[in-house]
Amino acid sequence: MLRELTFYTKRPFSIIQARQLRRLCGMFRAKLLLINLSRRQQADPEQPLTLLSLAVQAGDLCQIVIEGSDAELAHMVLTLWVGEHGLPLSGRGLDQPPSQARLTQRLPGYHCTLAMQDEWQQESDKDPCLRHLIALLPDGLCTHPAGLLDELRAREVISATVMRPGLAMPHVLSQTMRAPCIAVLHSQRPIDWGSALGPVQLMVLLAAPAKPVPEHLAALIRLSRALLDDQLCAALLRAGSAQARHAILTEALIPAG
Amino acid sequence: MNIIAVTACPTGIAHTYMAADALQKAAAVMGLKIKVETQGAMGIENTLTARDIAQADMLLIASDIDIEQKERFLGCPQTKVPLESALLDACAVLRGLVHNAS
Repeated sequence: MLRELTFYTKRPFSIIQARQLRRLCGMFRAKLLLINLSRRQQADPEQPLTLLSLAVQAGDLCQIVIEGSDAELAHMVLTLWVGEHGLPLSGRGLDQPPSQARLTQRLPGYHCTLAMQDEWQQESDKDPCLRHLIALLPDGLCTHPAGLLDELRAREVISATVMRPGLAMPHVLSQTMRAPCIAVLHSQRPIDWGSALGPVQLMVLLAAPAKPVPEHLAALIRLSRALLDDQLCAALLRAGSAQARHAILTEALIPAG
Repeated sequence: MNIIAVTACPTGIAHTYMAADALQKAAAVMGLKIKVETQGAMGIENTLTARDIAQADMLLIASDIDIEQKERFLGCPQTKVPLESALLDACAVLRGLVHNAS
């Protein structure tokens, strides 16, 4: 059994938090892992000193991974601990996701809207998913959705856009787009994307204007590269809520450090 | 063995850079020397110079489209692979390259 807790920290981790976490870990059979997604480092909470090496600062995005037969129970207990020391990202609400402020602060003037939809359960085909991703784009951002769909289809014909096992990232630079936008769809059922990497459950649409400004382009390229990072990509696929996915994608878009 | 590589994809914002990173990572693990030129939406970066090309034993093209300025590589032994295979298993791609060369 696997559970995760994704959260922003409220304060730096000191030896006190590290010891508390080790004590909590000792209560369960499940194996725990703490990942600092802002710094792309991970540590075993049973080793308080390595935990300190993560150099968790206030505002860093972290994920605790809990794996084992009593993961559910450990998850309940650790949720309380996380609630004390950080801002848990377990909600579905995306009106004001906590990560939006971070994106605005770190990439000012960057209009990258992250639209999201969870637990989508319809036909398990690629084409309806592409349509759905386009429908997630905020009103007015795409001037010609049908044209965008055609461009995405044409791109998929050249080669399927599965980036990592479980993750598809259809992407296009299109004249139909007014500003760069990312839309995310998570499906309960695996969807055949026509790739040797197998079916996917998470779909991330990257759509940007045909001639994006260099800083927008750089952010999208940073995102693609970040998905090659095993820790970040695994954390994204593991994340159980739209808010957590939004936060992890934001972390991938902004410059590291 | 001295390898040069070019990555390119139709959109040039994702695969080009991911494949380049994957190839560099794999080459480091296998102890191979590699220089990867990316032909993406940012233009041609980390350009392969005439000297790079002259010193290379093998050119790897990881792309689903035609690459730019390929006349530079005339006379250099080349292998072309789909981008997906470089992302799927860059080590296997490089192993195949080494195998072909020997």
